[in-house]
Amino acid sequence: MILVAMSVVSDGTTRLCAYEDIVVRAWQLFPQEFGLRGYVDLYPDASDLHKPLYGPLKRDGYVRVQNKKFGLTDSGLAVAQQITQPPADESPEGKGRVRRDQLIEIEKLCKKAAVGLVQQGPSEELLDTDLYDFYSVTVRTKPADFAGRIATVDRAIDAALGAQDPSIDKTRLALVSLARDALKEVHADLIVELTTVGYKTKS
Amino acid sequence: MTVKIKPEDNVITDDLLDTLGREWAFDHVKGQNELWKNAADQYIRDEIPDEDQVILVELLELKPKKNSVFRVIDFGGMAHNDIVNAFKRWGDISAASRNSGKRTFGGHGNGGKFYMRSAFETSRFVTYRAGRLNVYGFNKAHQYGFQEGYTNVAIDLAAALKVAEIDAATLPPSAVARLEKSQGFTVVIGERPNNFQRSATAKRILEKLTQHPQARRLVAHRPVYARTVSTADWQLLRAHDPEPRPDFPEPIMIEVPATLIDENGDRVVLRDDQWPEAFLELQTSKESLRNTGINRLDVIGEIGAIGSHDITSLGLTNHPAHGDFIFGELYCTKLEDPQYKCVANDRERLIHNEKTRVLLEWARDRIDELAGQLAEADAKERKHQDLSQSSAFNELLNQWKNKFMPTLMAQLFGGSGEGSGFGGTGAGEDGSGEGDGAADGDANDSDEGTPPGGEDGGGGDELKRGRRAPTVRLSGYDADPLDLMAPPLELSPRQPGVYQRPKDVPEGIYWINTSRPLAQRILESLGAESTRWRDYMFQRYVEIILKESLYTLERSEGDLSADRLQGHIDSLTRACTTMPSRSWRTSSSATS
Repeated sequence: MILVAMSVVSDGTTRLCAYEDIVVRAWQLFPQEFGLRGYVDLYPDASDLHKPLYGPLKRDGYVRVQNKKFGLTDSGLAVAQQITQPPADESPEGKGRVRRDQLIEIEKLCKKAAVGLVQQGPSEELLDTDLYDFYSVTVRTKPADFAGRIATVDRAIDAALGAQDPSIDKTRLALVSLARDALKEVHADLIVELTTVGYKTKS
Repeated sequence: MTVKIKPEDNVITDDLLDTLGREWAFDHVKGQNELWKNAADQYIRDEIPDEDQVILVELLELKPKKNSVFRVIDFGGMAHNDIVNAFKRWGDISAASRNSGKRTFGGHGNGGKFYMRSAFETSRFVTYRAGRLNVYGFNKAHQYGFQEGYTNVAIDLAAALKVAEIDAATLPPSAVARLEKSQGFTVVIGERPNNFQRSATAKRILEKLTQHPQARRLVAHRPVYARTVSTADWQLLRAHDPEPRPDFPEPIMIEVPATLIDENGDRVVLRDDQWPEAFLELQTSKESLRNTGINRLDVIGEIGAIGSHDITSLGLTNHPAHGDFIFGELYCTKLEDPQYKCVANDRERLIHNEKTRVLLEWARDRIDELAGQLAEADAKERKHQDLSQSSAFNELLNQWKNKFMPTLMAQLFGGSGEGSGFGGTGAGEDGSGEGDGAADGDANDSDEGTPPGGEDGGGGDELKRGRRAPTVRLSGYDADPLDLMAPPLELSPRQPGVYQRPKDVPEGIYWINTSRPLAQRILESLGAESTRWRDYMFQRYVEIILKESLYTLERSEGDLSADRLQGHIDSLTRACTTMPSRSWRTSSSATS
């Protein structure tokens, strides 16, 4: 519901929106869920949005935050659109096509250095910078954003593997999946370090 | 039709001996090695332990030099029977072992004899065993036989020593001890040696023998004494291995595969139940071994060298230059399998066949791999030396950056320009007040620590310092500021030109990756003192300043469009290319 509200506020884009606009629009669209207890039709309750926006929605890669403003990611926007306008031609098994944002994600992943390295064989070491490149993050990416990117990318890969989308080259997709698994195995500790709040300062 | 031949004894003329003996006629290193091996074989037949197998070598340089005399003495001795049934027979492969089943150095039963026959005007050996003296040798016409009056003569040891011109009083103590126990000896005497004139010296022959693949092993494990003047003291010869490279001090052992596939696709067995051991042992040398005679791979059989190949002759494919710093031994007794026919008459080189080729190619590749490691270590060392030049310049740039950046940041983002870094002091974290872990910003981020609208948030209970001014270090050279005891951080050529580990981020540490291909190329071709390298480092500094400023820009302005980014980059590069001159002069004068 928050994603839908954000989608409405941002006119179906990924631009950043004021927190207050989101709070008000969410309440207008879903007063029972986002109204102040006892005054659901009169006043919104901002606290109901604050926690999910900074927490699960961000760590799952649906929302990004900058300067106290919030925007949908491509993935978040796609989910919001899926809720408001479910595709008519979706097969019952959910197979056939992946979401457009996930298709774009897969196309980007196919060009990553790590995929090429996995294709060449085990001669080249998968570096930390290959991990950053694969998930489009840096060593300075904030933990929740890092986790969000991992979630988004993993969802895209898993969706593509499940959907058997004919527009995706199966060999390339298999290599992407192999690269993902190899990076996660080689850099398991680094991923924990960079997705855990406060890890850097503690270490 | 079955052809029936009535077999007869071979008829061989002396011409054949002349022809075959040519290879020993002028090479005293090769010939002396044969005599030394014969001496050792006598001890082996007598079951004398290696450490008691005393061999004395006299290469007596006389004047004129052509009158010089070479003598080799052992304290075993031969009986008349040995001479008749073994020494006298040409090319008897069982001569050295006397069918004893013992492994001996002698192989083909002709090396020592050919040397005596071909390399001297006359030669003979005086041998005494079990109270009997025999003198047997070659005359000027290269005909052999007993010396008249010295066939199986019964005399005492003292008299025999006198005939042999051995003064027991001047012998090394270990030789005297051996003589007392054995009560026998053999001295091989060669007079007026061929090819021993002008620059040839006895000392040089002895030096070469201590490096000779076969003789070197004798010297290494047995007491071999030598002298070049009859009145001089005996000197114990030593086989000197070259001093190894400090970074590769230990021998490297590699097991030879049980089988290899040769050029015809056939399997060549190199280890089996009968010959189970086969390994390659490689060592390094601090100095180049080129033209020293040591730069070679000795192939070792059950008891000694059965061949030796110069490393250069193996044809290293990738790192031939570093092959000059390697020597080693290839121990493979399977090569002595009579069916393999790999061991040559003179044991100088293995016989060239498909079996030896595939084995030597395998050894070559291992040597090439080690040579590659040496090359890599040298490149690293060279780079390290180069980077010591860069380090001073890096310090200069660090100072410049420290002076320049606050001013630049003030210019780009406003403010007083005071202080040494960017970013605020940090608003603290855990500001959601709900314990949901939402606040994950770092010291310079207040995005998530303060709830929008100022509601709910706590200030957080952990105050963090602002980001420090970046510190720039050179990979592969500078010590890690976060672990001073660790070796310098080595980066991959695939890592970016400017690199940070997660733990570097809060400390503001950046590494200039000196392994990047362009960095490597500049360092290798132009050196660390070149303006091109300084320019490269300056560019990396600008890159660091740009990266830092981008984060500051994002914090201050939020969503960044391409136009805004370009504008920012333009401003920054404009400042970098106009402001340095003033700051630079100040820093430069400070360091100089």
